[in-house]
Amino acid sequence: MFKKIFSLSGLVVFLILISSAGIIYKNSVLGVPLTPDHERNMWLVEARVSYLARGAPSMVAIALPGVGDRNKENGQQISLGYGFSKEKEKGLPVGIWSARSPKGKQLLYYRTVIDSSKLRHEFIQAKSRPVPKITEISNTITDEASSTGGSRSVALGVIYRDAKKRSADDATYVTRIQELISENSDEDAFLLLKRYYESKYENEWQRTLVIALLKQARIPAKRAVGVKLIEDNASREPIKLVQYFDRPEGVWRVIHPHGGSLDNILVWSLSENLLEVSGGQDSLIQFTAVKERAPTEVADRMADSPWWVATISALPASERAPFRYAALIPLGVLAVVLLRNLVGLATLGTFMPVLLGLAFLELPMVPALIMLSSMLFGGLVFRAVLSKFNLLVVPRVAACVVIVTLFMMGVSLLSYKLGAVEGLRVTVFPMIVLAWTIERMSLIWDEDGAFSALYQVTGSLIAALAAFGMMKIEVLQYWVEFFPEILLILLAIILLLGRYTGYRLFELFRFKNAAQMEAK
Amino acid sequence: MTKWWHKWLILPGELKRLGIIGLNQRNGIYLLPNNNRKFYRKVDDKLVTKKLAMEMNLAVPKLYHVFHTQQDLKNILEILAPFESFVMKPSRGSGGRGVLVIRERRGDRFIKASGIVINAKEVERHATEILGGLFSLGGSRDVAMVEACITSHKELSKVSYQGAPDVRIIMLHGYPVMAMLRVATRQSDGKANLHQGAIGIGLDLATGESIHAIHHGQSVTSHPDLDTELIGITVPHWDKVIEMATRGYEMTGLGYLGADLIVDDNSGPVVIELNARPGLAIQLANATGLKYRFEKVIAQAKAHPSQSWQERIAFSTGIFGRKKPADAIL
Repeated sequence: MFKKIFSLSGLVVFLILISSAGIIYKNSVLGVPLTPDHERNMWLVEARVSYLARGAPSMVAIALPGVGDRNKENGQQISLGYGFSKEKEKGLPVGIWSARSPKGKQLLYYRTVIDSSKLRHEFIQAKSRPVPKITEISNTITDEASSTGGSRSVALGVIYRDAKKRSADDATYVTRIQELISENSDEDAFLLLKRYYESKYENEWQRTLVIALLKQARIPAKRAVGVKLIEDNASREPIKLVQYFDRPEGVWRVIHPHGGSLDNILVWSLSENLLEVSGGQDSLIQFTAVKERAPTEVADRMADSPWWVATISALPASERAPFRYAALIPLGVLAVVLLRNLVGLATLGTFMPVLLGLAFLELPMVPALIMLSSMLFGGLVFRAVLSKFNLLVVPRVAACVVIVTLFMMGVSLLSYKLGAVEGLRVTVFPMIVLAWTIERMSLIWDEDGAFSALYQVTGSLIAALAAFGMMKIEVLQYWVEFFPEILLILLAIILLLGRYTGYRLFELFRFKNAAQMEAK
Repeated sequence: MTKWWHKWLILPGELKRLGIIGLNQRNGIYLLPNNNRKFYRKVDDKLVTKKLAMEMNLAVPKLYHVFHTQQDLKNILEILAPFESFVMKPSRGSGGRGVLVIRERRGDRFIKASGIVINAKEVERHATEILGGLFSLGGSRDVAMVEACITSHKELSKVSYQGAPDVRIIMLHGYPVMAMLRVATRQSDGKANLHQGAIGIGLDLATGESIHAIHHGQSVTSHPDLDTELIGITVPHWDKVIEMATRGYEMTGLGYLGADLIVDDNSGPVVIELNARPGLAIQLANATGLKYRFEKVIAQAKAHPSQSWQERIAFSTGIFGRKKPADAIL
């Protein structure tokens, strides 16, 4: 017995030593701070280009962030078998990847660090470039809509005159145009243009129309590209923006075609062309933004150090997100161990609450809870119907999975339609686990009564919330990201908890009547 | 002394002094070190238990039939036809889950222990669910066994609201440590599981006489549905009951073991099942903590290893029997 405990404590000490050594090394040698810097507003923004190469010489040009010489661009590219060079095109930086004969699906990354406190949405016209002149602009109106199609140019003229009447200057004219788009005006002229632009430009119609209307008023306007700085572990499409030249101020102003807020939106590039690929097809560019909780130089040092295995800084941001996510699971597991063995909470399925907790991380809390309970309820009702058919267990649970999935899709579509939440994502709930939960719950319901079933579901929910809470703590998130070896300490704690033989909190209630034993 | 906080909870220090064992302590100190994993199969699979018990000449309910696959269920009615009453249960069920007790038949209708009438389709569905592993440990596939329904001894059935009362005896290193009688209530649907609302009645290890009873963790003295007195009744054939339970240790080799028996009206005690993870409510039923008894047994087992079952019973009944003031733990 003694020997057993000794070897366990030996292991625990060993784990803690290794882990602390890693942490001390990183902290003192590599300079990784022990706590996240809340003041920091640095974001790692990564563009991920994918395309299908044909085996011919390929060239991929991507507009890079930075305007003129003022903004020193310090990004890095990640690619395999490509040459990379940075060039200037009309004063804007462009990155060019080239390779002789790539084949199959290609992935290219470009990442850079952005200070979100210095986001700008207006840019001074570089001195080296001529200020656009009105005459010059009027010649450049080569947009089909104005040169051909009489009714369309009449419609453009109608809207232009009407907006002009209601505005004092260029700035208010632009606002008026944005309003037209966001209100989805039902004027005949607007409807005509909308139908035409929608059919011709598809999801580009808003900004193409805005640009055309600005040019109608002789305001120089072009496309621009934005990236939303939001941490949701997702890759997203670039945001389609419009820039116009504010003549009195002498700056290019970036706006949303429909007048939406530009908070937390990084103007990635003022270039008209974000991505050009030759020698391939099906090209796609997506952006991932990740908040950098440690100084940039530290991240670089870590990526280069022999300890790189122990850190995720070396991975591309879009690959890093799921990694980060996975590293949180042990935290949730610890929460469940604490609740089960120290508190004595009963849950349906041992680690099911951790999976639910992960789902909560992805979704806003209240809708997630509503969704979960409605799915449990729907599943139970369906299960009651199914039980009439005498089905075998596995097909019955499988049927339940299908129904729960459909139910979930229904709820998310509904919530999207109602605009209640920003599109609940379907994939995040562990559907199969849910189906088994429903199965087990209805079984307990039959055997032990509704109280037992609800008691255990409540226990599971509480455990899920605790796991969620644990995984949500910012310091812990920071630690598992920059000091993954901390998980060894977690392991040591769990091992020690495995030897805990004291009472569970709930047993103090369960055995309360034992107090009378003494009296007898 | 009852303190004001005892209305809500009891302090860990108090529990410790009373010798009440919690789940972590049971698992970490008594269960895991003493129960070898490879022996679990002997108790987790009731068919194996039955076979082993028969080899040791321990009485068990007669096995009528075993349904192995869905195919077997095709002529379930013909197979069950000869049996006026029976019990269908999963071979590897846990916590009394999935036990269907049919006490009587009326044509095509089956009458459950609780008096509820079901039809042949429902019996078949129950078998299907058992085969699918719905009630089994880990949800893996299982077999459905059908065995004789035990008619409880009259002395005991008069304190149970339907369903046969069973005796649970907990053993450590083969020494009986504590015993309780579990009787069904209207709420427990003919089942003898405490968490389903059955009554736990603590028994004097020496005589099988009831000394204390609990219902939902509260002390009671009479049956809530039948109004019969619960204290002072005696389990018939007690010597045989404790002998059979104690020999379960030789049968399984499990150091921490619970044995469940039913006393049949005609044939006397039969072993229903053995349990490698018996629960802790027995402490409340007996108003006694397990810990001090365990400690005495451990000391005895250390001092006199490999005692015969007769010697072990003699030791336990002598030291834990109520009549002796030496056992005044509380």
